[in-house]
Amino acid sequence: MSEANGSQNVLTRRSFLKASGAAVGALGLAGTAMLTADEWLAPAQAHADEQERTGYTFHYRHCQCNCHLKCTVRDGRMAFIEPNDWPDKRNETICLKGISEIQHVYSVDRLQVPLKRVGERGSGEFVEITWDEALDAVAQGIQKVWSDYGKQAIAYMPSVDTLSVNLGRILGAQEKPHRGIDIGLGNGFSPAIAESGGQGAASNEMKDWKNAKTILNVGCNVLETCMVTAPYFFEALEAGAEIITIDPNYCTTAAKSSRWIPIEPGTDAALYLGMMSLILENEWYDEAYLRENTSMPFLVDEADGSLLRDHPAESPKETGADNPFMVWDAVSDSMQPYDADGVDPKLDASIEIDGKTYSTVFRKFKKQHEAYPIEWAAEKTGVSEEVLREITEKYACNGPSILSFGFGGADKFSNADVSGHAAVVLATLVGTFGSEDGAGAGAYVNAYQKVFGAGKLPNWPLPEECKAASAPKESVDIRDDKSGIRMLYFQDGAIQQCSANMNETAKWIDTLDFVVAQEIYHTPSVDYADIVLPTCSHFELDQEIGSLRALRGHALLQQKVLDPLFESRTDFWIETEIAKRLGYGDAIPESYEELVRYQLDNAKDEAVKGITLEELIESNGVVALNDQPEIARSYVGQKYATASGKIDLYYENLVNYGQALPAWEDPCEAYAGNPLRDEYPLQFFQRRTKYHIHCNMVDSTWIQQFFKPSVEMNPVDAESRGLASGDIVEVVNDRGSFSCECVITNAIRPGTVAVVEGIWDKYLESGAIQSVTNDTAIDRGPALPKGRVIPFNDTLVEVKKA
Amino acid sequence: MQTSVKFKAAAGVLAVLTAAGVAAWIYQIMGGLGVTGMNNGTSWGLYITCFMFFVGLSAGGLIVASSASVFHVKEYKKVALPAVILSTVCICLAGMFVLIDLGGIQRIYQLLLSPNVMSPLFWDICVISLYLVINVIYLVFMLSKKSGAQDRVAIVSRFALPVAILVHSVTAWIFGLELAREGWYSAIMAPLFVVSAMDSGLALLLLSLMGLNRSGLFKTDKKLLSNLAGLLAVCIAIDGFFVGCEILTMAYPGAAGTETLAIMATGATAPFFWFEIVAGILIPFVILVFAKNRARMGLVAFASICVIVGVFCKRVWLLLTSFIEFNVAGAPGVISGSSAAAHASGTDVWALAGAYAPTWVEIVVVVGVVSLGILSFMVLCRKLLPGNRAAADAESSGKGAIGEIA
Amino acid sequence: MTRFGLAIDLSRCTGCNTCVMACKMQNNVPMSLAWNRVVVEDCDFEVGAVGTYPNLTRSYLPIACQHCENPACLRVCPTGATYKDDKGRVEIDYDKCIGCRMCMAACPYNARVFNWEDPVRDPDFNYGDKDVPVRPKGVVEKCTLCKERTDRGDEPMCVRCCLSKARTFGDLDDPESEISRLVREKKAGVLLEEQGTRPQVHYFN
Repeated sequence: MSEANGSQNVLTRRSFLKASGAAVGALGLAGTAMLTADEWLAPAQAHADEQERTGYTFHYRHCQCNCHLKCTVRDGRMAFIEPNDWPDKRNETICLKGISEIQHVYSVDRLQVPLKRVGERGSGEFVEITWDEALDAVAQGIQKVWSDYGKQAIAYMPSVDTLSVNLGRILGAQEKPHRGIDIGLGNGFSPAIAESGGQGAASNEMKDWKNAKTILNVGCNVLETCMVTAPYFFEALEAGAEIITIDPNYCTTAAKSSRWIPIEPGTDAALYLGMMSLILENEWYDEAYLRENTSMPFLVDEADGSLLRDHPAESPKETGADNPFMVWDAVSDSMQPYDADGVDPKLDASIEIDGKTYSTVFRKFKKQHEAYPIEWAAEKTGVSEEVLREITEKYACNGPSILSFGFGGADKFSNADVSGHAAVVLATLVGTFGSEDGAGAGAYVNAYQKVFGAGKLPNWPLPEECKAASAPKESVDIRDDKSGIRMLYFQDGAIQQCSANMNETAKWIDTLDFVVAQEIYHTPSVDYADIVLPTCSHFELDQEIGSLRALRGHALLQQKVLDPLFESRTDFWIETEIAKRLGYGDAIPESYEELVRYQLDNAKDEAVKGITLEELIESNGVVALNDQPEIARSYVGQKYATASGKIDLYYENLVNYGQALPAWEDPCEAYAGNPLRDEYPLQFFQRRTKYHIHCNMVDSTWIQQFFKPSVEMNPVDAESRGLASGDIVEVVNDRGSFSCECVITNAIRPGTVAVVEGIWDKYLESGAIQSVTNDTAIDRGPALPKGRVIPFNDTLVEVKKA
Repeated sequence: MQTSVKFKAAAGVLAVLTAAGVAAWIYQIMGGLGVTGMNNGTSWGLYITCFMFFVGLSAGGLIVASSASVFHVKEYKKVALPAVILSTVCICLAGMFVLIDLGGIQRIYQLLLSPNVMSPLFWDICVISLYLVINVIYLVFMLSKKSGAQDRVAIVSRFALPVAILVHSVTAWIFGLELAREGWYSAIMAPLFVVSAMDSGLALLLLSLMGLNRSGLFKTDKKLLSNLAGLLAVCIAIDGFFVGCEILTMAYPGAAGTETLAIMATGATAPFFWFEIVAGILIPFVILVFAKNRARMGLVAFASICVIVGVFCKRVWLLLTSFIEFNVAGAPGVISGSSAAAHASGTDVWALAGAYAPTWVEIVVVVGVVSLGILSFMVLCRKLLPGNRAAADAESSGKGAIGEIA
Repeated sequence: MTRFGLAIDLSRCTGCNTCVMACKMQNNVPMSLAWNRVVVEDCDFEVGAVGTYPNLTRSYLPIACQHCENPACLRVCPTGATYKDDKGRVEIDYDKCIGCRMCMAACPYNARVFNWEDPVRDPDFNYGDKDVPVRPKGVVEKCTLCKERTDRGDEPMCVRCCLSKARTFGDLDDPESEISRLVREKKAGVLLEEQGTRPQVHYFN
């Protein structure tokens, strides 16, 4: 166990309040709510006469849920957590993770004091240091990297749930450079419709599912990963929608859907391509929609695959207004700018002009699809032709239809962008975007709060030089030479979550000049840090007012529930102290309150304007954003922020990669005929669960009563290896290995194994889950909007008895 | 003074064991029942097994004694006194096991303050108390030298016999009325308990009489012992018949009972079930069905031991089998809550099926209680049995006779 | 009369265990005890499924005290510690419980748990609703239908927190109540009906 070396463990859980009492004293704060260790140990009595106080805060937003919680504090200890009152009652949610914070805030794995590494990176050998020592060391480290390499040599990897405000900009670091996670499908999906986040967010929110008739949910275990959407899922079912979940494994969502269709992992693109072949064959596509709202009638030069424009374009991003795309007008039977008055573009045409052949995008698309007949798709996906026909007909002809995908499946294969691109084309064929209620496509878990119901809050104005650096274009991976990264400043388990092939990643980290972890818990990532800064959970503040979010249609304020536990400090305090040491002490807000007031007073977003801090406090931290729709939808009125202003399905920048239109490409490792399968025959899948948010909550003893880390595999694969449930098994490939208990279940597809992602190394028998995962960077990565995807699930392994 | 030395040695050992049992019990009271192997899935264990077992053992004695008076079986009258002593001791032990099993013995007065007359446990507590009182009255009248005492014995015996049968029936109903437990819910439970009581009780009486014979405290005719052994054979046969009836009823519909039966026949409680069938019923019956075997005291003793151990095994499988499968089955099962689980972490707190093994605390407590029982029986026999009383009288009046007895 | 009960829509239950966690917090339930649980029927693992890939089913069954109209536990309790209260809930008077565990043997649902030793809490203090009594070792406990909350007019915590809105709490004696309507219209059933306990927890799909 790595943590046995950490001297911080001299603080037992029972004595922590003593320590934190001292810390409170040091801060000069009133410590009346704190207990001494003796009182802590006093036996439980009826607690009717104890003092109670209520505090309000929000929980994780990483699961997209951002529950706002009403917390009861009794004698300085958080004794009760319940959903807060929201103006929109649908948002009054809490899940087992939120409730388990009763225990989890006091977890044995809380980082209690600042630490300094004394052993090898990754060994977990630390000594306690004071805050001053820690902050001085961090500031000196930053300044050294600044002077030696420049600010862009710092990679700042904050968590989704960080409450740091200005830290990244003060560091001048590359923020989340090429992290390659949750962007795979969006790489292919988002450009066509210029989806704002670039991560494939859905075009409508899940509340709209009840207006759909057919819902294809592909590789998205939404009932576990974004639990607060459950009511909308069931409303849809009860309204008569057919939810068809397509997933290799019989996940919770599959079990609750109208129907589950198993699929070969990594072949989602083949599914979409096969479905599109059927739609073309049966002319189920919405021809008028394609002509009016998409790039399908645009003419392409067959010679070089470029889109024909009014005049040669300097960049594919040149807008259609400046340099119109050309179409073949059926009325005049001539080539015309697509935006010309009265133009009636032909959808399916090919013409020859001056010896050059021009075809419409649609013609090319049809032609390309000759390679993807239904038989082909059936073979690739393992879904029978009959079933493919059935679901395609339902999807195309029994609308409104939804095409939903998630981040846990196809997103983590090397061909993720092809899947995303195919998905957006498929959805467009049946006229999904900006049309009727209940029609939509994309990642619903992402859209739920990130796109819809999210208010924009202004940044605190910092001096000119304080701005994030952009990652070098020629770099595809933070670990490559071209990234220029010499220092890593990370939060919330970023190393473990964002790195495949951990052994290689560890080697890279070892070459860095300086690594800082700012974490609440001692996640496996912490062991790689040189300096560890213990930060507070969302329940703890040293001031009454904390940070502000504008999500789920509401402004949400964090207020104090508990004083900082142990010697942890808020993200705000840490960034203030670092800023002071870097000479920016005067440039940053003095308190969260000052920041929140600034954000509210200077809001440009109509949704936020007019909301005051006083109103927020009065409403226990939750105020509805202005003019939020009952159900939010994008692209209403067929408005797209693309170059042409229409749905740009043809990716001109990928012509050289053969992906201007989605073309099948096998996953880079977990494909059917890979010779590597002789040695490593099983596809390895990291699934997500309701119990954790990545590496968060893994250490909660309440949650541990329900969850035990295990490798899940099908009886067929277990039998051939002589494995039984409860055996300790080793999961191995050339990259590395780890071992833990195995569970034999029919819910897992034969030929695959699954393990829950984010499990800490210390809860495994040995090794690290990420040590086996695939980190291959595909060639077209730099050409994709969000860079290459890390193909975590595109991994082959063998499982044997440990 | 050989006997006395032996007696004192035995008594000394038993007293030490008793003290150990008391210490273990105090430990249990301090730590809670978590120190036992019981858990939320199998919420009764060795103590309740022993409770059933000793209620049964106490029967044999009283049924023999009272039938002697009720049915005027003359020979049995000779052994009535040791039989009643045995019965009294056993019922006290049974009662102690109920008390030891209570998690909140400090609130026991609630039984008097707010009794629930619908509860079979309440019935049992009443009947056991009544049974104990009758035993004591029986004993008092038997020992009384006043005239008319023998008539009173006859009257008491007329109450004692039905109460003895009732006490076993009510104990059976604690289980037999529980619809929730497939293996318990059966009308045959009461007759089965009564007949098990008779065979195990008789077997214990036989062994006790043989022991008394050897110790010289009390002499019993070999013929009478053979006679009692014959009665034992009949009881074993009836016991076997009832068990057979029950099993057939469980197996025949091919319904829920089959699963319970499968646990008995091939599952966790199978060793106990098969031991009872083979060693508790078949072997002793085969031995005792032949008159010539009944005349051989060694065989009678062996058969009696088999019967007693067999009936104990029956108590084990009868109690535990019905805890193993939960009516609503599926992961994660039932949160076990046991001592082991309380300190277990993670998913180990759950159990898919009931499981139980006694801990050292339970075993020490049981050994202590049984030791106390044997000690009490020895002391009571020494004090109350006629031969010994004579000797004791002689001892107090001078010296001499004891040596002869030895 | 008031006869509180629950109606649970099994088609909405995703087995997320939020109800179990909510109950644990609300009622100050220690480690290694639970007043309710969600069973994955006929599976040995939570991630299990019935059948052979790909012909699979999985059903979740939340189970706790059924607050029976004819409670087997109540009948057998020798001291009347278990009682049916005026709102139709099956409750335990901890001061009367002698810890004989007759009720645990009698309950067909394994709904009752026993304080085998002094409660072990993590974190080591009394969390939850301050009106909930602290139970000592040696007494039986179980779902109270959140007596303290429902007496105040609130819903039980499991109902309040159920993300899928699978749970409905209400008065079964009020024909106008939502729960009565659901039981009627959804033709809700009860668990182990053959046990004759007449549960006030109804299940439907």
